[in-house]
Amino acid sequence: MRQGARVFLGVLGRDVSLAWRNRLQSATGLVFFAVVATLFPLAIDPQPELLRQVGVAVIMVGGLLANLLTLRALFEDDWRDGSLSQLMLLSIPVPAVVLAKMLAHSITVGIPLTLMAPLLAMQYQLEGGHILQVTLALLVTMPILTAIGAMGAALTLGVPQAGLLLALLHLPLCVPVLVFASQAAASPGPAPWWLLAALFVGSWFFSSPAAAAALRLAVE
Amino acid sequence: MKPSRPPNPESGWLQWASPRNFDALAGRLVRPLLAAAVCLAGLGLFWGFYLAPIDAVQGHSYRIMFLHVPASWVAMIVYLAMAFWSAVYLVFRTRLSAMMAQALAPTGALMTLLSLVTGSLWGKPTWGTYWVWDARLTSMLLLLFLYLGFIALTRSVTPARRADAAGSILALIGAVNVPVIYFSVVWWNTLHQGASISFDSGVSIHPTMLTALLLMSAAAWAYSIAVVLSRLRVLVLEREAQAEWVGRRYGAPGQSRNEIRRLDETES
Repeated sequence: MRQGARVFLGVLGRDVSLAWRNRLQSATGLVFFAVVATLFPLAIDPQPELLRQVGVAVIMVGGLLANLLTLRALFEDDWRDGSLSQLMLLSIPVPAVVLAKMLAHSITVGIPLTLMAPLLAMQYQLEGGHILQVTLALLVTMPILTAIGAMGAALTLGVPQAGLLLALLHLPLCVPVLVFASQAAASPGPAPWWLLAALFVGSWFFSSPAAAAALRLAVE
Repeated sequence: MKPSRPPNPESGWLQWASPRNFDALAGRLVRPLLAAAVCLAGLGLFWGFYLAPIDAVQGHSYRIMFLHVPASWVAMIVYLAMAFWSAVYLVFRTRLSAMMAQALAPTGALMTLLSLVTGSLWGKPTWGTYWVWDARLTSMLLLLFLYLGFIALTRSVTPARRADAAGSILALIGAVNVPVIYFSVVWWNTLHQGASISFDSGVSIHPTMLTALLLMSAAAWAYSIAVVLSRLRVLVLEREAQAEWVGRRYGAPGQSRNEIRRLDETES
């Protein structure tokens, strides 16, 4: 048991330090998020009232797309240099390896994107309490998107035009997350938060075995 | 107690999982089904456009319902069928089940598109707009994306064995998500706009209209099954082109028709 936990933490630490060493690649999502949020007010009339109305939507959609942009790297680099097969031969089950990689992705991509949300929310003239609400909603949303995306990334691993395919597979599956997260960020009341929590638990539970099955196909 | 024997693949329900037996069965089914589809559609159109009375509120425009409702119905059920065959493939590893899911997908996508197009054409005279972000329309659009994703994935993944399994996993993920997507969209819709358009306004349907609707639905089903079976036959033949039975039944390149027929008769 203790051995398994050590291996799990080893995979997690490896992925986090790899992301830190490839800082430029990891920052792609952050730059994309900032660009989208900056371009949007330029395309519409930048009245504070209007910005406040669309702000939550822009931050949520921008965060979702920025996360999608980084999902391909979840397994692709390891698959390319062959270390993915090595990871799948570890003493812990493959779904646990997937879980560790998903956790590393949430830490290295999800949390930085979440930390950027307050800055962007200020650009959109949101108030103090509301900024906190948006940031919290994004904090819960990012891991769910990672879990859903892990399945798509594993299924499209090594396929030509994987990026386009991943976007197509990802889009319908992340609609519930977007709906609940935008509600949680925009309106008072606990209902959307409970639904987000349910999605969080469900996606993390189901996605690791599904992604593991897809990875086995890709590595075979 | 009798010792349990392994199931004999040449008898019982498993015999249709063999591509060779399936090909013969499907070859016999396609033509009668297509004929039934044409007859039923002719009858249904006559009933719907001639016998059914004009609607008091919507005038003639409601008649597009006779295309719209069967298309939506087939579109939704076909996804369930796809998920079912995918599950069968993942459990029993019968190649034909995965190919069945792949044969179903284009028909499902076509029906979803048809449902969206007829729906928006119906929406213009009744609601005054081609598109509203209504829960049903939005979830139909997302269903179309689910179909397109499945088709794109199974077409681009190689080798075929991986495409079968990857497609099956995706269809199951989609099937688990369909209710979540549907309810999230309904919830989002009720929060954003009042019930400007109500589908369940308690209008009872005239019996003639119902007859026409049922005839058209049966036609849509017969057509879909026929098309899916013939698409599946093509998929099987493509996949099994090197197999011995394909050579015997359809001949190697350059073989004359008579030779092939003789070979096939000696086989059976």
